[in-house]
Order: sequence, then C-alpha cells, then structure tokens
Amino acid sequence: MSFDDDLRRSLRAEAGRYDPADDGADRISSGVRAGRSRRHRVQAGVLGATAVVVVVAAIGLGLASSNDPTEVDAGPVATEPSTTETTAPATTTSTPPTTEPADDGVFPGIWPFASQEAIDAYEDGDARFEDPAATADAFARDYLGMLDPVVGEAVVTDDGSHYVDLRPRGEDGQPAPDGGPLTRVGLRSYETSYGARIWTVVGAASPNVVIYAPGPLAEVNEPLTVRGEAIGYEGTVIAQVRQDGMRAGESLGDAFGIAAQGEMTPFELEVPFSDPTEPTGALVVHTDTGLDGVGVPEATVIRLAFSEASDDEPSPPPANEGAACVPPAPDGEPGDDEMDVTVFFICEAAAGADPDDDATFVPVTRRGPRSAGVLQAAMETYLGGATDEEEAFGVGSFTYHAAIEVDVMLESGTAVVDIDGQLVNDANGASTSAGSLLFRGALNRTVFQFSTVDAVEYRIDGSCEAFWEWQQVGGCPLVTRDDL
Amino acid sequence: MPTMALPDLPTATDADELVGALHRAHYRDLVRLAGLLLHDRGASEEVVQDAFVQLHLRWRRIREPEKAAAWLRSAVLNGARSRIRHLDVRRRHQPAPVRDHESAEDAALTGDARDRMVQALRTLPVRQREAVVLRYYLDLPEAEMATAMGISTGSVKTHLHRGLAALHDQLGDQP
Repeated sequence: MSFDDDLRRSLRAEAGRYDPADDGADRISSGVRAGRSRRHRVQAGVLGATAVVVVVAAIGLGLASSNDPTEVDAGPVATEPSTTETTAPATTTSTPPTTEPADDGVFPGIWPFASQEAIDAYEDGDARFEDPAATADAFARDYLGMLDPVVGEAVVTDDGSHYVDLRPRGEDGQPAPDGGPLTRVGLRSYETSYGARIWTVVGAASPNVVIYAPGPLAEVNEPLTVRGEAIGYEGTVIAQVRQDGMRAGESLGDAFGIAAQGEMTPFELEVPFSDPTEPTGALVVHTDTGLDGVGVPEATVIRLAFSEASDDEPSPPPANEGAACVPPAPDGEPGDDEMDVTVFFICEAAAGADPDDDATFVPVTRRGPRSAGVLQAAMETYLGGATDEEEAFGVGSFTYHAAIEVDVMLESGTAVVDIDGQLVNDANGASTSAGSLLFRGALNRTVFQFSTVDAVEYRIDGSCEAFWEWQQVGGCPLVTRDDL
Repeated sequence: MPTMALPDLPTATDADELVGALHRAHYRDLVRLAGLLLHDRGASEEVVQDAFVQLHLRWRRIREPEKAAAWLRSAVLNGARSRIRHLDVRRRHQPAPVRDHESAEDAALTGDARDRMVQALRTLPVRQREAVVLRYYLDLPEAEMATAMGISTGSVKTHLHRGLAALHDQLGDQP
C-alpha cells in the first residue's frame, strides 16, 4: 500500500470519529431564529436611538476635482442637505503633487506622514511609501484595520491627484462578487530631501459613510459633534477621534451606534475624547459587520486640527505628586484570618495612559478576610474599583464603589470569569476603543498574576459573546498570557 | 429614516429549502472535515452549524446558489482555523479525547499505523493541515482547494508539498 493510500485511509478512518449528533438541523434553526431576532433589534435600535451613529459619505465617487492650487486638499467630504442648519465645504480627493502645506498651516497628510517634519525625516525607510497603491494598502491594514484588503491600482485624475480603491474580502477570504463596500483613499506625494517621491494619505471616503460636519481641516473641541448619513449592512458604526501617530485600535475617544439597513440614515453623534498631545489628527468613521475575520469593511477619514485649550482652563492637578500611583500597602503580614489581594488598576498619572505601556497598569494591594478563592477575591476587588484613598494617589478604575457579582472557575489552567451584567452599567468608558484596552489590560494583569492561570474566558451573564460584543470585539476569543 | 420593516432577508422558503438541502447533502461530511482539523467533535459541529446559520442569514449575498456548497466549505475552514488557537490552549490541559467508535475503515487499518499518521497530521501548521485534508480526504483539485482556502493555487501547492514532506519526515518515509 502506498503512502498516499495510507494517508487517505487514515483520514477517512479518523473522520469517522467525528460523525455528528442528530440535532444539527434543530441547532441551525435555533441559530437562524436568533440571528433574525438580532436583526429586529438592530432595526428597532435605529428608530429609538437619540444619537444614531455615523457619519459620512462621500468621496465623490465621481470625484469633483479642481485645478485651483490654493484649494485645500483634505480628502472626501460631503455637502449637507439644505434642510440642515450647517453646511460643510465640499472637497475632493485630489492629490496635487506639491510639497507645500495647506494654506491654513495644517499639514494635510494623515498617515504615514502627518507633518513636514516627518517628510523631512524620511531617509531610506519603508519602500512601500514610495508607491501610492502600496501606501494605500498599508493604510488599510495599519491605520483602518482592514484585513487583507483588495487594493486597486493608483488612479491619476485630470488634476494630477491620485486615489486608490480598497475593498474588503468576505468571510471566505474572497472578494465579494459585487466588489463589496468601497473605500476610496486620496493620496498626495512629496519629494524628500534626497529626491525620492513618497506618498501619504490625505483622506478616505466610503459612499456608505457620509460626513457633513465637521469639515476637513476643521478645528475641533471636545466633545466633537459628528453629523452625517450612513448605511450599514448590519451592526455598528463607529466614530473615532485620533491624533497623529495613532493606528488602528487606538483613539482619543469614540462613539458608536447602530447603522440602518437599506437606506442612508441621518445621524448626529457626540464623541468625547481625551486631551490630545498632538496638534492635529483625524476623524475616522467606519462600519462594522460584527463578523470574525473581516476587519473594518469601509471607512471615511478626514483631517482635523485640535483647538488649543484656553489659558483660563485649569489643567487637573496631579494627585499626590511624588507618590503617584503608589498607594500605601498593608502593614506587616496578614493575620491568620486575613489575606492580601493584589489587583491592577490604571495609573492616571502615566503619560497618555497607553495600554501598550506596562507603566500604565499599577498593582494595588489590599488586605481582607481570608478565603479559599484568591482569584475570585481578586476579581471582586477589581470590579469594585479603586477606593477614594487610592484615587487620591492617582489610581483610577472604570468602576467606583461598585458591587458587581462575579463567578470564577479555574480548571486545567483555564479560568472562566463570568461577570454580572451590571458591569455594563457601572463601568463607564470601559467599552470605548481606548477604554476597553485599558479595562482589559488591567483585568488581564489581575488574572495572569496567578501562575496557575494560562488562559481566561470572560463572560457577561454567562455569555462570552456578550462580553466581547460589549467590548466591541467580535467572537469569543480566549485570552492567554501572550496577549498581555 | 428606516421603517419597522424587516431588513432584507430571504424568503423563508428560499433559504429554508436551500439550507435544508445542503444540510442533508453535506452536513455530516463538513463535520467530519472540521473534525480532521479540530480533533473535537463538539467544536466541529458548532463550526459547521455556524456556517449554515451564516449562509441562511446571508442568502442574498450568495449570488450563485450552485456555489453555496463551496461557500460552506470555505466558511467551515475559516471557522475551524479561528477555533484552533482556542482549542489548542485547552487541549494542553485536558486528557486525550475518548474514541467514540470505530468505523469499518478504521478496522481495516491497524490502529498503530493510523494513529501515527493522525498524530503526525496534528503537528502540521494549520494551512498545511488544511491542504493535506482537502486533497487526501475530500480529493479536491487544486483550484477548488485554493477557493476553499482563500489562497492562490501556487500557495496551495506550496502548503501541500511542505505538509507531505513533513509527514514523510515524521513517519520515516521518503517522499
């Protein structure tokens, strides 16, 4: 018998071990009913939402263009219908080959080069940025969060500007038969000091996500009111405020809502965001299918400038400067009926509260009654939030004085942390883009301080999917130490 | 503004008939396919059921009904791939699965030889494992393997070649 024959027979014999149970059809029917129910809720959410999401529209898919060299080239935007009070300037995706900044002094490039200094500093870096299509591809993956997008060729318009079309792949990894949602990326080229021509993205737009306000290059304050129209296949539309240097998964703040299906739906959304440390950034509005393995399907991106804080606006004083984020630990050893429990919270004094920076997360130890389940105690403590005393030392948390029930099971190195749904109401800001990373960063560090835990599955009211849906992450990923 | 009308869904008849027919024709084989990749019957059933549910809900997006079976196969591969990490972590801490039963083909091959082959298969990277299973279990041509795996036929050849070489190497045979 040949090797190939052995392999075939082995696989067929092995496959016979996985014959399914007889209830498959019933389970599929249940899943279909649950899916329909979800879509009903989506529709109802559109009707009931007071701050429906999203944004934008338009890039002109028949892009307007201009040869006026003074026109600010800031990416796609739309003109708001006359029924609304405010109008926004119509813009284009034209990309005149100039090295001059825009007239108002705001550098139009969003990514990867967001300033003239970044252009000047480019020497012989990433060769992708010497090609417009490759730059758009990198923008799709690294800035928008698209997974393996279908990237078109760079197109030169009559005025010499460039754009590249992006489309997502379906769940099967293939381009959609009808092409799928479109995101058109506008690019501008710059000449470096040693004569190379490099490209940066100046805007992007999806016809399904139209932004009326703010306009491109607008100077904005917190909170940012975003107004426009959008259409979503199913699920969420997300608006994010980013400062220069941020990438996919990072933002100063965000807001989300439910996208309508079938027709463009007006929305107005207020986006809170933390103080920027850069003078400029971008508004990113994208839809979300809620499906695994698809990534961001489409997005509209416009350039923003941040207003400087007025002089009379006091900045928050650092708490207990000099002893920031180091609240006193319990004295001595715990008594026979006591034990120390350590949890991780957020050091609000840490620069930027960066979720990728270990310094953002600080251990806080408290002494309490002894119990058999130290992981259980740690979870209860974490969900309870920082105390007033800890806050005074600059330690922050997403809950305060909360009593949120949690059940913890640990078996064979895998913990299941099942949190009461009250968490969703009590943990303010823990489901935003930036907040969720901090919430989970502290939570994961609290869990993985115990060497007996190799992996953890989080749940809300018994549902892993509910936890991750609240966190705006699809699926039910198992978290391991590698994710820290 | 949107109305309270239901979102675009297939008529119950269209989608139910399609999914019902596909279920009768392919459900068991798809669970077996997932089983070869996941080595977990329950997880395999869930992946395949999820694929059928998604197909039902997205009936209008399946523009060519004759390709629905291929769509399902691809969806099962994607679902299995995303579960592998999940399951691998758990499997490290769990005893070996109990063999449910032996098929007629099972008995025709000595348990030792089959076990060695299956164990070697499990050590392959996911893409190589998929390529070997699609070729030697489903007997798919390269073009259909490429469609199912969402990669080029050239990549299929590469994964299959490497997977077979690794199996030969582990089992002490010469390719």
